[in-house]
Amino acid sequence: MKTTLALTVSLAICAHSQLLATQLLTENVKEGTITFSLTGQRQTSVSQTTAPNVGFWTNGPTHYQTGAVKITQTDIIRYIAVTKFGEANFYGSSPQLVLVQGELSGFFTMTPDLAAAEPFLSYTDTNAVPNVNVYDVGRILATNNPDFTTVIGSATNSLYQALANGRAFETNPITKNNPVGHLQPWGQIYVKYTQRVGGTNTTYYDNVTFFFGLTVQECYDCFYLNSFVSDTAFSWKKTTTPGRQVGPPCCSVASTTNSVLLGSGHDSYFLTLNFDDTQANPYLNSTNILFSGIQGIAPDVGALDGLVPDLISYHDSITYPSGNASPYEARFTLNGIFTYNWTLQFVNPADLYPDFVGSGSLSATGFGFLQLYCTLLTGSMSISERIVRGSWYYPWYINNEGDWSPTGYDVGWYSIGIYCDVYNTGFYESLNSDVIFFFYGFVPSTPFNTGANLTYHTGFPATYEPYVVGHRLDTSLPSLGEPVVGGYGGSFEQSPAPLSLPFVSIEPVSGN
Amino acid sequence: MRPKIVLLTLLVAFAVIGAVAMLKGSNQKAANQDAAAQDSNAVSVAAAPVAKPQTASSDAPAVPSLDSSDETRAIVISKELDEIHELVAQADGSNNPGIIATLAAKLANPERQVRDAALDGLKQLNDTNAIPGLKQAADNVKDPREKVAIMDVIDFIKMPGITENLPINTNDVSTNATARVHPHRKHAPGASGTAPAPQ
Repeated sequence: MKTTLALTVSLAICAHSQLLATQLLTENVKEGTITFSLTGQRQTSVSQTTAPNVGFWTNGPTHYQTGAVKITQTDIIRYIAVTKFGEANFYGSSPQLVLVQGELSGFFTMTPDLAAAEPFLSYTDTNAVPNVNVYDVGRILATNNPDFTTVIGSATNSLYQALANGRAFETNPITKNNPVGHLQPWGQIYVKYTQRVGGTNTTYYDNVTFFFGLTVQECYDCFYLNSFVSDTAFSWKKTTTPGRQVGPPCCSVASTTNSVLLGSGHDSYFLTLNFDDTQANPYLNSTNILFSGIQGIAPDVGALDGLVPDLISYHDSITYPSGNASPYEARFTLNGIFTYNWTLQFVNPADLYPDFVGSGSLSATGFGFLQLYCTLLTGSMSISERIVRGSWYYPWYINNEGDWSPTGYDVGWYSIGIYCDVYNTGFYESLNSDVIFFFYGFVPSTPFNTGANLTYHTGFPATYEPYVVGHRLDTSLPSLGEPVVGGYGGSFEQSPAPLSLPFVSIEPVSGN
Repeated sequence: MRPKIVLLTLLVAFAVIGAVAMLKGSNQKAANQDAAAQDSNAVSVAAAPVAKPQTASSDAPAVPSLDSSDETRAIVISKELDEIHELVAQADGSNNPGIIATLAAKLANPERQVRDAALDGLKQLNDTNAIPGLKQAADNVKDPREKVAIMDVIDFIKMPGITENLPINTNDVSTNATARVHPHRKHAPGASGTAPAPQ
């Protein structure tokens, strides 16, 4: 999991990047192949007869029929390609969706320096929204982050395994260790593809994290762990490798000198995964402060995103669309239990800590708005990890888009952290600090929904936002990931479930 | 001493000696069996997973010895599962045939966990080249539930993806589509300031 101590030297970014080019040509990294195997059920016919889509609405259709569709990672990559480049086959014949240097176990945590990473503020675009700064979405610039190793393969020096400490958010009063289970899953999602350049096949990685949103459910003041359950056996292993971390922050047990923590196990947690390639995704909406620069899908006839009813003009004839309206428009939510089977392995022989390597699967049900069909989804999402040879062009510290940055060097990754300070200050309090009251009643002294997180962790909603429609009292739980506040001064639509972002609806949704 | 008494005495003596010999033999056999059992236990104890000493340059977890049947079985299954996951992770389209062949072979593995993982791996690959192997596995499997699971995977792979046969370029809306946007956009409850301008 960790690079060597030889890299713990403070360098300017440009010089540091040159050092990277030399050192990381032989670096191993962890890469997880993401696959989706989903079956969607959607309405294919509403009709007055057994023939499909015949008749008139005023006559009352009496025959209803559904059909099935299949959604795999191939389709999702095409959705992304059309959104970004206008061409479904941009990524070639065999692209893969990969989670790069992911951390899927609940037993990992991060150093205070990485937790303090701040969002990357790129430029002010007065053309988009007058007098409002537009943030280049959630990128973390190393110069804003005192942990310079975030420049190296996703802060590999800043992540380590930890054991449960008996508290949900507080440090252990005796060992001062932080709790676990607030950060998984972690990483960045890329499309890995190969293109022939100058007679040579070159592999590229395109960061597409902002198409996805991940949320994990937490639960406090319960027995044991707060967001996951686990069957695991750790063991201390003596090591004589120079420089290996044998004491705090990972290992504070006095008797385990000169030891590293190894083990294997199975972790499970409730995960919500969103995908959205439309302008309903705030990252893909030019009027939203999170705009990434890539405009989301919208049909030529106007924004149809499954959120606003009766946008389509009424025609009495029940007519099946003979073409494919908005064929690449896709937004869906999957919910389910993600189970991750892992062992701790040294990704590189000289690493300070071993890393979790394994495979995970989300057995999911969900719903989506696909090709203008409301679709019920069942199936699975899987992540199979392996150790691969890294390279200078590895995505954590090279941006394929070459966007402008204040230092002229663009590094960073997408996170939920732009509003991290809504929940906490985004970084560790003193390890000896007491909890103080803020927002939900306390500011955690542990990294939680920090500026460096991929995944948004949420507990049971503070309110259930009941509202009265006519004489009915409708109570429904907000979608996991909390309602999203996007733009400036408004609340964002909730359904279909938005990306899991650290936005919180300031006021309850009120009925018309 | 009269001969009859001598003979009788000798007969009794031989009988006693014979009985003693037989008794001694059965005890020895029992003792041998006990010793064998103890040896077996000793071997079993010795076969319990023991971490091997690690070298300074490598702190990889130890490979346990394989004499306990349950532990052996668990280790073998674990290795098989790891191999399956590694194969799925390696698949990049160009190497699918070899991976498919390996996974298809594992559909005949005696362990249910391995067969299930191989089946799931083939589903993830979503390659129609896997269908012949799957059909053969379905023909060979006895458990009807496994057969149905294999047939479901075949049906899944055969199904076209939602974006197959679509126009490659852009999110074209067919001119025959009946969707037309109402000129005055309504706002849902709590609608955002991000709503597009009215058409």
